Amino acid sequence: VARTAIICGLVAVVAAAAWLGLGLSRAEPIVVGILHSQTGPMAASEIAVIEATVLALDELNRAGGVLGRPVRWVIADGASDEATFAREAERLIVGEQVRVVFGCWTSASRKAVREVVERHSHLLFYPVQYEGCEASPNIVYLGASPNQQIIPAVAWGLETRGRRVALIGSDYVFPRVANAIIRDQLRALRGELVAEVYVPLGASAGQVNDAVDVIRRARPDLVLNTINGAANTAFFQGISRLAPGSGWRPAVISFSLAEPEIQALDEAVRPVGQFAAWNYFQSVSRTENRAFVDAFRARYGAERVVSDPMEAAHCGVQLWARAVAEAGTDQVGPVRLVLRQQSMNAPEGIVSIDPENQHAWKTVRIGRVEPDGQFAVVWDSGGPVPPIPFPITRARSEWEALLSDFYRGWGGRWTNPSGRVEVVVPAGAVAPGELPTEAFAPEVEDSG
Amino acid sequence: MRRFVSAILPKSIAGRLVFWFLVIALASSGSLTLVIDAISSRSLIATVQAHLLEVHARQTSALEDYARDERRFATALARDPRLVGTAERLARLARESGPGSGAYIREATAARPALVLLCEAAGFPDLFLFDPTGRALWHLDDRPDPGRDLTGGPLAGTPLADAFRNAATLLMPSLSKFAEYPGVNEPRSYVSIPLFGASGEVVGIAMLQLDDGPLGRVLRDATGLGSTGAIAVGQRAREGPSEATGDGGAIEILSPKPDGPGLELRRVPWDAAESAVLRRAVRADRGDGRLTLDGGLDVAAVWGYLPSYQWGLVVQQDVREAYGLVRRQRQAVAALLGLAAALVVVAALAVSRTLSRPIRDAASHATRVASGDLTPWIALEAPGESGLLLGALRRMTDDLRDLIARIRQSAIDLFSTSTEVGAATTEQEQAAQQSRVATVQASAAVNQIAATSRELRSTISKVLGLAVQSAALAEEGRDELGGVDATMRELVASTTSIGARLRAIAERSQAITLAVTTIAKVADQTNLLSINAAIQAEKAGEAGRGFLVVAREVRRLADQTALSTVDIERIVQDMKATVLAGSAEMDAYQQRVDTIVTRLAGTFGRLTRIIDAVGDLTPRIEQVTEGVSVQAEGAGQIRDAMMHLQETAARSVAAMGELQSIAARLRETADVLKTDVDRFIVG
Repeated sequence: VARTAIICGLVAVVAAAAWLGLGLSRAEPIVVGILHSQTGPMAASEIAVIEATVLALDELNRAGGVLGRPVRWVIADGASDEATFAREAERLIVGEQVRVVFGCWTSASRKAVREVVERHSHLLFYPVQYEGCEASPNIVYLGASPNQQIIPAVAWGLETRGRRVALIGSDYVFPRVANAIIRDQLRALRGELVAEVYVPLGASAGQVNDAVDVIRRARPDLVLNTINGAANTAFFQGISRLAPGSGWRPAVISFSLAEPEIQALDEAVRPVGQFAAWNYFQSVSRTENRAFVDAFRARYGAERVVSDPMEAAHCGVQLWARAVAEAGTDQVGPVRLVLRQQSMNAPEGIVSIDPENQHAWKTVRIGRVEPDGQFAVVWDSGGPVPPIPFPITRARSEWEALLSDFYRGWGGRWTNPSGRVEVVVPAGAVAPGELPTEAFAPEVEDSG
Repeated sequence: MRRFVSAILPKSIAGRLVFWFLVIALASSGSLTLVIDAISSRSLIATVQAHLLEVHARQTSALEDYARDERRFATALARDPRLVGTAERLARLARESGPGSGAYIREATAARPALVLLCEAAGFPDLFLFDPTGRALWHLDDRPDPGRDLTGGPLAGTPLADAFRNAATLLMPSLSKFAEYPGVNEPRSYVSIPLFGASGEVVGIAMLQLDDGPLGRVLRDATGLGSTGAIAVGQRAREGPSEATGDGGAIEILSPKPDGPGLELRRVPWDAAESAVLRRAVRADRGDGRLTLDGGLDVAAVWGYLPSYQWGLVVQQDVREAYGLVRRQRQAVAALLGLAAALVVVAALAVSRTLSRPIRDAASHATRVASGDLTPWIALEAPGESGLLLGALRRMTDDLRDLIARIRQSAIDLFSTSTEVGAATTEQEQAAQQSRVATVQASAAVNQIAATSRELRSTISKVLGLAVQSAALAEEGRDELGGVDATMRELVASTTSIGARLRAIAERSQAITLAVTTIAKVADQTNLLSINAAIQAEKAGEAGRGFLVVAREVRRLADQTALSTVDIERIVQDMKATVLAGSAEMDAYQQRVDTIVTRLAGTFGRLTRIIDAVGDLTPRIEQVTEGVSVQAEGAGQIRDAMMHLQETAARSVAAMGELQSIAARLRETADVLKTDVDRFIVG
């Protein structure tokens, strides 16, 4: 009996030593938050981004987690509403004690969440291209800045398609600011702005047709489309009606139209032969991209397509995990410091976080819509382009003033609440079917 | 397992002590050493890696900060009036009078002093100006020459042309990749910026050469990397597979010039041993660890990517130098462990000698006790726990001796007590047996009572049944009588009505008689009138002859009427008599029927009284039945109680038997105990 006791004691000692030595402490999961709209008009786009984020987190866990700890995620619903986004961000950070938030799609929701993450010195990974003019130390911007999407596409369009340019967009902050940038660029490159018109978010087919009429009368060579959501169907219907017999067919470059949106469009209005500018297309022929597309389809179905924001979201999770591994802790402060040195070989190419503005260096691509709904790349930047969130055509303070003018002009929101078609150029023109109203002009145009 | 352990264990105390001392010492200090070694090696390696990471981060931020600052300086020049003005004027002159014209050359020369100052102040060694289409306008070193145009010639398709395009179309400052250009045998990089005119249009592009002196200093600075440390940067060669299509091509390694400031560029194949770590870095893989290079060299390395230059940066150090401290620590620990083992063996042998003698003495005494010899014993004097053990053994022997004596006495007492218990139990058992028999008899008697009660109850139930049956029969009779009575009453009613009718007929016939009398009077009158008429007619003679005939006829009719009236009167009188007789008979009949009805009512009343009487009887009979049932139940309960009592008695008899057998066993045990205790020699 005594001998058994001694042997048991020895075994216990060795086990304790092994436990101490190998540091097999309980692996507490690291909690992260996913904040996107699961309901409301943005749900269709954002749910796909949630799926890509979850795929990346799941891949992390299957590879053994981060710092030997599994990652647990909490998904919060922003419900396509700024206030809900801010409230849910607060809940994730304070209530769920998440270490990082992956989320937001619209600029409006990002600006609402920005206040929360800045107040808590927290960290948000934002996966969507946007209008720039922002650089929060608490946000990692994985989508394109204007110079990584809009400006190259405009330059390419002017060079290859002609100098008469028409702008059409949804009436909220992204298209308004994007078009301000484009106007500067047209001045710099001697393009001619012949029409600039906005339709409300969720515009009716009639309103979109009115806007298309304004463009038709201006006869541009190039139409730059920043319409978001379902109004694209009516827009492409209107454009395709112009084409036959008129001998005039403008090129359209879209900035918010990716593979899932094309898949969602009616086959009859699929804008085959038209263009979109992104950093990533599903058709990008790289080993890393094939692995990503295969993994996504294996999990969510072979008929699914992936898009630029989904790829950026997936990439964001990996960059965060690398930063946590390198910092040796999941604490927000050290992770944010280390994040500024991260680079990775993403499906789109090499992506690096800029240490100064926490935007990503990204490759720019212009793709042509093919009959199967995929894009054929017609131009790329040849390598990663540095992010310049504040285009150098104006001072940073001027861009910030422009943004705050919109915000105040729209009664403390990031979306124009008028619900009308607004025609900015040609000046004085009124969309048919719209009563003449006092057009809101937040910006004083240069006399030139 | 246990068998294995016992097979390798030595048998003597000394052997065992040495064995276990070694096991304890080596297990604890060995595991402790292993754990500490693992932890400290890991922390040492982590420290070394952290140091390498720190150096890497230092170099990275130095290089990236430099690139960022240069881009910023360039951005600041985008609206510089000297640059913008020169570019505008030269472009206009080139357009109007050609790039070789006197006006053009005068303007280019006039601009030189200001632009030289500008470049020196901003730290750019060289400056090109191009117009927005890529045609060369101005160069710091020389006059413009067509070979420098970016639209064609040797510069088309170079990183310089890429940077030009970025500035001209993407409107952003852009740092070109390092490359060697014709006529220059060192790699160069340029920052390009667009020059904006007054209304925001691009009037030209400035290309500013990056000063590579600071870069060379950073790359040469291997502070903290010992004698084997190295810092290397490299980039993918422009030609060959692009990063979009995959690996391959070549790697261009940039290193500080050995004999002066600046960098030199050396091209190595993609899979060269030298570029093993750089390959990872230029693919934007970031990491750190220990690597064995193709040449057999073991290195600790950190690698990462620099986006501004599209460079991979590797910081590495020979493992033998980096981890030297870890190796020394392991050697020291192993030596200390061996020394500890030797000391443990010596100590164990010394201790075992002081332990084994007193234990052997104690063992021999214990053997005596085991064989039953409890005689007093002189113990050895020994120090410490051994002394305590021997003292305790002696005390134990003494106590045991006293105990055995006391037990012996107790065994004898126990034996006699158990015999007494046996006898008492037998008596009790007999008594229980008797009480059981008595109970069985009582139980039989109660059974009989219960049976009788049950019979009585069934008899009463039958009587009750009969009473209920006769009540039902009487009820039926009464109902039938009720029917007869009603019929009789109907009969009286119809008889009365017939009498009334008959009296009415008699009254009517009276009226007929009156009418007939009237008719008879009329007939008499008529007869008199006809006679008078006949007389008158006779008087009239011939003229009244006809009238006479009529008067005769009228008198004959009056006579006939009088005769018929007499007949009718007789018939009416007959009828009247008959009706009166019928009416009298009807009255007599009615009286008889009334009598019958009265008698029936009496019979009905009597029957009702009979039924009520039988109804009263039923509940009384039920009460009796209930009483009998209660009695039967009581008897049942008594019987059950008796059964229970009987069982209890049976059980107590069994228990008595058992007790008896226990007493017997106790007796036997006491016997055995006595024998056992007798074995001890108490002295």
